[in-house]
Amino acid sequence: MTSIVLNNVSLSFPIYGVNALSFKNNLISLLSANIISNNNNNIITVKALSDISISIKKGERVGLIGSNGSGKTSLLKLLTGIFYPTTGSINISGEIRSIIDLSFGIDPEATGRENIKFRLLMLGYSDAQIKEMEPIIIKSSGIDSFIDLPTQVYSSGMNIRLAFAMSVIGKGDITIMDEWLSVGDMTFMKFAEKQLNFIVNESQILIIASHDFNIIKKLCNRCILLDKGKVIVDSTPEIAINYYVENF
Amino acid sequence: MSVENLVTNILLILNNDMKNLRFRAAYVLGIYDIRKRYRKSSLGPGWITFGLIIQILIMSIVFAKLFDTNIKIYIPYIAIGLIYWNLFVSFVNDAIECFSANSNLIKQMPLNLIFYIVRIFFRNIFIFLHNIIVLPLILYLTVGFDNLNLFVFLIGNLIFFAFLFIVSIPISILGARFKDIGPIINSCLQILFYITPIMWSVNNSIKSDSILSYLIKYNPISCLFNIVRSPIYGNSIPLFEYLYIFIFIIFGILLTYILLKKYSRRIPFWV
Repeated sequence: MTSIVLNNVSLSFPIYGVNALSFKNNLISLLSANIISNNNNNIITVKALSDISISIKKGERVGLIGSNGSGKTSLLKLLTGIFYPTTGSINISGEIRSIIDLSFGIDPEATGRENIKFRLLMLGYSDAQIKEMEPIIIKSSGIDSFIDLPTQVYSSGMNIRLAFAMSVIGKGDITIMDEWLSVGDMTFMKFAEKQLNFIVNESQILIIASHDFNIIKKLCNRCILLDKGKVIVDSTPEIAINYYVENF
Repeated sequence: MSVENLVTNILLILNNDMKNLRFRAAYVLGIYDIRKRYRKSSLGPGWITFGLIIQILIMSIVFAKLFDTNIKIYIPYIAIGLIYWNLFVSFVNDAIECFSANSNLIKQMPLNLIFYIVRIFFRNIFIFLHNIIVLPLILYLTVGFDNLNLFVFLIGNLIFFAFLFIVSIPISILGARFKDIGPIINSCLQILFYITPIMWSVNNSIKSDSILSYLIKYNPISCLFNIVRSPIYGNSIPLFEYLYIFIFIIFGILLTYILLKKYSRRIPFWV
C-alpha cells in the first residue's frame, strides 16, 4: 500500500561561513581554545522544517504552497531521501519518482546518448532495460541526429527536452515535483503536458510544490501551506490558497 | 549470539548500507572519465602510458648515475615506485574533490555516497592498468622474469588497492567539509614522497636504530611499496608489512564506518 507518513519531522542544516570551511582556521581556534578566532559565529543553523507530522494515503494529490524559503523544497528533498530528518521519522512505502531538477547530472561533454545511459544507470536500471528505454527517450526528446553529439552543442531548448525526456521515463508510485514544467517550443510543450498528465494520473501519490495556484487547484485534492518550516494549513486547495492569499 | 546470527546481522547491516550503490554505473562512469580526458587527443589514453615511459627513462638515467647503482636493477625499481606512487597521489587527489565535484548529483539523487568513491576507484584503476602494462616490458629488458612471483605480486596489488580505497573515504569526507584541505594534503604527500623509498632504496648506509630506519619501517606507504616490490625481485614475503597493513585496513574500515554513520547525512549540506 503506497503511503507516506511523517512523524514530528524536523530538519535543520548548517550553513558555513568562509572561516568555518577552512581546516587551518578550525585547527588554530581549536589549539588556541578559541582565543585567536572563534569560528562558532561562522556556522549558522537554519531550521528548515520543524515538527511536521503528516500522513499521505494512496490517491491523494498534495500541493505544497508557501513563500520562498518556507521549506517546500526541503520537504521534497526529505521525501526523496536526499536529506534525512534531524529528528522524527519518515516512513515511505512505494517507489519514488522525483522531478525536482530535470538536468541534474548531465555532463555537457558527453553525448546525448551517453547522458541517457549514465542517468538510467544511476537510477538503477539494468543494461537490458536501458536498451529498451533509450530509443523511447531519444524519440520523445526529438533530438534525432544530434543524439551522438556532446550536449554542450545543443541549444538550450534541446537540452531541456532531453532532460525532460529522461526525467519522465520509468515507473513510480509516488511522484514528487517541484513546479509544473513548461519547457521547449509549442509542439514540445503539448507533448510535455501530455506526458506529465499521464504521470500524474498513473502515480498513486502526487506531491507538487508550486507557486501557480491554478495548477494546484487543477491537479490537487489536498493542499499544505508551509511557512517558516511549519505546516500552517492542511486542507483542501481552496481553503489553503484562500488563507495564503489573505494572510501573506 | 551464535555465529550464524552474527553473520546474518552483518549481512543485514551491509545490505542496508550498500543500498543505492549502483556499482555498474560507477564502473561505466569511471571508464568514461578517462575517455573524456583524452577524447580530443590523438593517442587517447595512450598518453598515460607514454608519459610514464618518458618519466621512468629520464629519472632512471639521472638517479642511477646519482646513486651510483646498476641501471638494470634500478629501472624496474623506480618503475614500480612511480607507477604505484602516481596511482596513490591521483587517487588521494580525486578523493579530496570527490564529493564537492559531484555536489550537483549529491543534492539531487539519493545515491549511496560510496558510489562516488567507487567511481574514482575505477577511474584510477583504469589509469593504473594503462601504466602497469609497461612493467612486463621493463622486466623483460632488465632483470627478467626469473625471480617474479606472480601470485604474491597479485595479492600485493589487491592489498594496495584495498588500502587506497579505505584511506580515500575519510579523505573525501574531510575534503567535503574543509575547502582548504587539498593543499595541506598535497604538502603532506610531497613530504611522504621524500621519506618513502620510491626513488631511493634502503641500503646499508641507514643505521638500524636511526630515525630514518624507523620512518621507513613504520611508514605504511613504504610498507605498501615493499609489498608490491618484493615479489618482483624474488625476495621473501614481507610478513611484517602484510600484518602491519592488515591492521591499518581493519582500523580504516572501522573508522570509515563510524565516519560515514556520523557524517554521511551532513555531506549534502557541505558540498
